[in-house]
Amino acid sequence: MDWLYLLLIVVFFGLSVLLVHGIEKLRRPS
Amino acid sequence: MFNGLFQIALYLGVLLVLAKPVGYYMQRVYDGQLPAFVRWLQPAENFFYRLCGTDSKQEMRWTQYAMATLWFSLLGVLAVYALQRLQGWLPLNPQGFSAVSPDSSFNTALSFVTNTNWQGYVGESTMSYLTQMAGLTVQNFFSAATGMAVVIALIRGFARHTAETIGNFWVDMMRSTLYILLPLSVMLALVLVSQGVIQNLSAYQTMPTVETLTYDNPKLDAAGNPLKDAAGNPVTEKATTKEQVLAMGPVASQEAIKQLGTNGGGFFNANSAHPFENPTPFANFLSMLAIFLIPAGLCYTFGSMVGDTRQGWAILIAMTLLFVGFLAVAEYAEQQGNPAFTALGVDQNISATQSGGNMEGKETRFGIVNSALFATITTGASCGAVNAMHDSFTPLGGLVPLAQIQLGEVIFGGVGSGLYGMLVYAVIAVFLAGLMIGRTPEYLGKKIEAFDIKMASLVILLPPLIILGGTAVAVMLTAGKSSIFNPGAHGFSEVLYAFSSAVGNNGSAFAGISANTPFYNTALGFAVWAGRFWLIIPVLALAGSLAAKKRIPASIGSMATHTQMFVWLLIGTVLLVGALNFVPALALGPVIEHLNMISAH
Repeated sequence: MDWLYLLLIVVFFGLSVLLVHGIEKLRRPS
Repeated sequence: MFNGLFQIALYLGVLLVLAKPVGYYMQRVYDGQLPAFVRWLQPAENFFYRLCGTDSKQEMRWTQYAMATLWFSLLGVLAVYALQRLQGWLPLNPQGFSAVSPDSSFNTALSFVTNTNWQGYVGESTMSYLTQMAGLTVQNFFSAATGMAVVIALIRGFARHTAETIGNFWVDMMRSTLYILLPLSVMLALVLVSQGVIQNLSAYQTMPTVETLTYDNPKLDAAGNPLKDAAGNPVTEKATTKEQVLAMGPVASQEAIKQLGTNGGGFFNANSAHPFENPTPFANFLSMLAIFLIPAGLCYTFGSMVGDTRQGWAILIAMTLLFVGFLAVAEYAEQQGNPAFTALGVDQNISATQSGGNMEGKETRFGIVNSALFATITTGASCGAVNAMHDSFTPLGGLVPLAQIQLGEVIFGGVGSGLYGMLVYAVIAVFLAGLMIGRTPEYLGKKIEAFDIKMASLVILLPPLIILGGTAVAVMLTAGKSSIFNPGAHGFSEVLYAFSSAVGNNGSAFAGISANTPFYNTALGFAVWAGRFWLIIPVLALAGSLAAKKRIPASIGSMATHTQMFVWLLIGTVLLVGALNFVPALALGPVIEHLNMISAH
């Protein structure tokens, strides 16, 4: 089961990175 | 009565007196003007920068700052997860504990890295000393330092003028840890040891009890879960014992940062109700003081860094007034006790020989006043340490911790997170005031524009979405309902509290819920991560946006934000936003419980 929880941790991290980039795009629309 | 009021007044007096020196010290640390008595630590700071290949002079844009926060936290989660899964093969494990289950390791790793310290496990029967020290205690420092770094970045956003950067995450982290958290923790740990808090690496001690104890032992099924009869009551069997195993461990070192960093995760399951964690009234006073010390000081730091200390005092006064209001409700509700017991002839009146009131789940050495005070402090902050069981509070007494968490823990709040939460409310407050008088809102000389309000809205709307959504899913699914030991309104309150505590990064619980299950470990694991970083990211974006703006000098048309009127506006905004989001859910839990209690009477 370790793989499942490690995958979830990486998914949470990935979603957070997307949020950073999404907000930056909102702030500075190209 | 007088004794209780005196203790509360003494607590608040000492706290408010210390706010300025602590805040001034922190401002010096973050501005790089280290006081002489900690300057000898500077080589250690520089050594760590060289070790990590960090250029401490390099400033970061908000996106870089956010990514550094995320990478650092991801590494922390993986390290704590690995320590728990491998502890059976690692040293400093005198009890020979085996690996923690994957779902519990997942939940605990996320929980400690996010400053939540929600504990679905029982510390003294689960975690090795190495896991407690190298995993949990280390994260107590780093998660607190992360919150402090983020608020300092936000303060720089207000203080700077047309700047692209908001500081360097690694420098802010290092200074928070090395110059603030570490020295304070060492001092507090030593004082706690003097009070009787234990600090050792011994194996657990088996001691004979004074008398033979007969008790009801819950029967467990093959999976280790408590058995219930057809009516849903626990099935028990009589058992006797003549000895007791006393858990040992390096408690004082974890206890100090647990309170100072508003982490709250106890070394033992009973947390600060355990005599080895919180042995005396003085230890209890220091614990409560430690929880609010840095959050109160940061208000002064804020005022000082933006060049107008009155701004910091206004925030601190708003926090204090909110705190006193909630404390009054908790103290009153707990001192009144349960009217159904009065009808049965139980004496719940205060007297020379008893605290009176509702003493279920409370330590007699702390009584009503210090239990309700501790509960109000620990949930005003995002601490979550407890010296009494919140699940056993009266409905209105229990509503206070729940509501404070749901307001976003901005009443002093977590280290860093409380102040950045309150500053977001201040942005919302000036926006509302601007709408009312038809002017572009300004706060500290910064125009508050559409992007800033979008970020502030994310910060105040994401938590209710996850709390209410998570609670709704949990009470619909069998996996969520099967963990509830108290069906009905109180069971709903327990689930609502669990999600509120997780999203608010508090960590305390209405503990009549068996949360160490794959469903709750996973759902609450998501909640703690989202409740932490999905708020930190918009806060940092707000910091970046504010830093880039011009700082406009105050004019006759500017709304003063250090006045009594602004303090009340800020308090009103906090209460209004909280009420709009959570009153319906609270009505289904604690409010119904209260009505049931008085109707039974």
